Amino acid sequence: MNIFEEYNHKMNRRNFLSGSVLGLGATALGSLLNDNMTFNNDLQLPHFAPKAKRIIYLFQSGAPSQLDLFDYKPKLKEMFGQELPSSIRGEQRVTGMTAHQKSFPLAGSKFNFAQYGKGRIWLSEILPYHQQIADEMCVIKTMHTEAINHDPAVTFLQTGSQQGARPSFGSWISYGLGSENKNLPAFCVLLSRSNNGDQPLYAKLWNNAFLPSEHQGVLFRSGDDPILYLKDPKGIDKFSRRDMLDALAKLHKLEIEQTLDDDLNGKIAQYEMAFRMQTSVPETLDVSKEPDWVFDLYGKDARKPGSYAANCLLARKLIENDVRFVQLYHQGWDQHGNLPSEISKLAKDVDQPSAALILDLKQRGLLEDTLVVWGGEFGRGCYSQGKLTVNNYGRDHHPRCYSIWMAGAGVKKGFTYGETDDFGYNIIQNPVHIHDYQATVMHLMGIDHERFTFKMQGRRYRLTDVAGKVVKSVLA
Amino acid sequence: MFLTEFFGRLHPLLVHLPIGILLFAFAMILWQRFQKVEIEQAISFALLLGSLSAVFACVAGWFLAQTGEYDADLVFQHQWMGILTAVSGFASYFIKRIRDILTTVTICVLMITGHWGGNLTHGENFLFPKKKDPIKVIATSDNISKEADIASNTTVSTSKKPKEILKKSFLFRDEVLPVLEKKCFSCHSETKKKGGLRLDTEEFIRLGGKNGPVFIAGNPENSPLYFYLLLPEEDDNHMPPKGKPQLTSQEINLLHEWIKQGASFQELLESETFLSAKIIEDPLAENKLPLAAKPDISVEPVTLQDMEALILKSKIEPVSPFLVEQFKQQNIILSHFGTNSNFLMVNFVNVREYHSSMIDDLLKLGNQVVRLRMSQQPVNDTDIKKLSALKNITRLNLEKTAITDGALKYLKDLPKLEQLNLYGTNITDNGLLELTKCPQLKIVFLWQTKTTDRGIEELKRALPHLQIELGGFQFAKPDTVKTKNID
Repeated sequence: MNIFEEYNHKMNRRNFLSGSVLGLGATALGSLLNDNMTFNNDLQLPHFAPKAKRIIYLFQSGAPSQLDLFDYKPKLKEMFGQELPSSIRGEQRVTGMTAHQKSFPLAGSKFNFAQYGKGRIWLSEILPYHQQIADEMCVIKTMHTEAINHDPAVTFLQTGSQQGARPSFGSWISYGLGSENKNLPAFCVLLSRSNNGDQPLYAKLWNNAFLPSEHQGVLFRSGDDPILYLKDPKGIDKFSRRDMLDALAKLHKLEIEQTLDDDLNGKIAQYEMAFRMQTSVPETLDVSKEPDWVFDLYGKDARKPGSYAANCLLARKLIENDVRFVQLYHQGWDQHGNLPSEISKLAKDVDQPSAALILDLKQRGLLEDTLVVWGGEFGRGCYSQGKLTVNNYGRDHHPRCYSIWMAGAGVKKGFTYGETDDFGYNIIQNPVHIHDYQATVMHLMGIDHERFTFKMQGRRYRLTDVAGKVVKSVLA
Repeated sequence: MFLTEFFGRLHPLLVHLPIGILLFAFAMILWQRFQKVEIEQAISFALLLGSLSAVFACVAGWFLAQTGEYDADLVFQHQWMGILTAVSGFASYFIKRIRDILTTVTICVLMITGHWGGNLTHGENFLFPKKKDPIKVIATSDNISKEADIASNTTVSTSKKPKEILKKSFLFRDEVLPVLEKKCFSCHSETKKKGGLRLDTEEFIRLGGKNGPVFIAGNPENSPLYFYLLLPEEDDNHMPPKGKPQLTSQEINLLHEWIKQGASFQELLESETFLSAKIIEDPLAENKLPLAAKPDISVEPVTLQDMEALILKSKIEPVSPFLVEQFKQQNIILSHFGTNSNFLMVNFVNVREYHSSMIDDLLKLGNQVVRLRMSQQPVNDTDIKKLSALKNITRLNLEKTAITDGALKYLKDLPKLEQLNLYGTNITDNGLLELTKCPQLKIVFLWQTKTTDRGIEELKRALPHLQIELGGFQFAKPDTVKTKNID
């Protein structure tokens, strides 16, 4: 829509009348009845009492192999080297990489599995620290998606559609619930990668798309300047900056009166937020005062800025300050070849910090109302990609089933949901689609995913698009 | 019909008129006789007025009796005595010759009527309360189980015999029934059946009242007998009604436990009754007993949502937008529990300059506040004292505040407090002693406090169902040899 159409749209008779009358009426009604008072936003969110007030999403980019981490399939070991029966594979499309493979030999995991905790959670030996927090974990083994490649799959998970150009999960939450802490953004993103970081990530994954722009994810970089251009340049002090912002706000107001351009409101909000962040961000992200035992808990990597461990520590600090949605991305899980050695490295990167995060939140009482999610965009297949040897194999993408785990507010502790077949190929019981997962997370935050929509180009969009059912069985 | 019910409810009001006026008429007759004054006309007037008001009182009384909430026999007696009062009042007015005698008769009848009326509302033992029977010793041999190894036949286990000791306790008879008697019978027993409900025998409790059964065995949250106790006092359904003696939090918990354990009216095999905190000396006793009484260290999470969910089900008026604005100015965040909920979560995270007067403002919110988060603010003990007026608080976050042990003694005035975060404060074992007085507490965070193992043990013993998070986690170092080989 070009600018004239937009202007006309805003000022057409219907909108003018509804806007003014309803606006006046609503205020009048509000003061008379005091019903449904909402304090943070006009959306009347949350819809019902939330269990989780904050969420940390530990996203493992590249697709971790669930067969080597969470889903124990002894039959694959027994049938080592045998062909994957076509009855199992069915019509599943494969990626271009394996499409030309002549055989699909089954490859059992090289690692030993055992059950841990009172919930008897299956974990492989390369997750020794997860073994110690098994009592807090709620593992979903039957996540599934339609996407076969990384970009559409991650986009699907983060925005609810493979096609993109939609707001990300964090942006929806920021738009719906806002941030309780006025000095920090509602949606923070932290990136890390293992040494062999491979699949790239895109800013669209934490973008606000058509939602107001103050809801985009704020990326914190490692290094001295976590947010670019936040600091005042040399020669400008806080008071000058404040004066400048006040003057700018006045100019913006004049402009809005003329053009009714909503984006300007977003811009003003972001200028103000940036001003507040100038003090709050350095304060919050300062780990120099953390005691030594913290670095023992999270692992020595936590001293290295930009590592996953350091990001977990920052995540905890952000959550302590009531940031609504903290998302970590750790890249490097895409092991098409050389899986056993590569995945051990990745596991080492994330194992201790993820577990430490859970325990650290728990001792501060934050785990009671914070949700932690760990998982990737799809799983990996049971047959070897490339040459299969006793000590080495690769795995291709597998969207039909994969595992994630959740912990914290509102989810069952020490619980496994869903069952896959002996090949780890198909789901036997209790599938959880991406949309179901999104609906469940929103439910935990007090949002009815079907009612939370945004009207855009004549259609009401929502994160779960047109599907999604809350998985009640994982809720405590 | 609403009018008749309303008029019926005027009966307790109206009866005061004939009582006062007829007694005054009698007083005047005595005065006339002994002081020789001439007040015949005044006496006539009083007798007439008194009798007329007695008639109105009777009519109102009849309407009240129609609600059926009172014992039919007692009502019958009281009703006819009341009518007789009115009749003899009129007789005294009209038959002037034997006025004095008739008035005396009227007064006597009036007093009897009044006494029976009092019995109807306050119970027969109101004027002269009966002394309670001494606690019966449960030492009857026929109650003992047929199992061979039972050594003791008393409920208090003090012997150090190595054999298995099973106790029988009559939870309903000894603990629940006295509570019902003290706090409920005045309106829910034989003589008075408010809401058509009687609570004086097992049969009647099971039967329920006008609105159906009052309990579901094993499910206290959906049992009106329990959750009506938790509703805010202003709520019409809150029991006991506002103004009547309320149940203590221990009594409330007793009912919760009793219903949860199956609402048995018979004796139970238990290691200890709920209200007593006796420590069992016999080390073997606990192992052989059913799990009902043991603190649960299961995988199931502590269900904090019970109390909160119950509060959220009830109604409360919304907070005024003026107050909301005031809080916004002070950077105190108020969020609501849902689109249609007027209950609030309060968060001080943005407050830069904390001041104790903010607590005074908070008190204006009253029972809407369910969760309160004041982490890292310089909250002190007097602030907590003021906060104890917010009766609906279920979660209180006081981590890294300036409170000391003194603050904790006000927490027992928060009857619904379930989750308490004290990490990073200067709480010591003395403070934990205060926490033992909060039996409804479900989880407490004590990391980085000045408490010691001893204090924590005491707390565990006093409140075995309490989940205590001590923090200070350390990982066991995994065996890295294996993982190295893979590289």
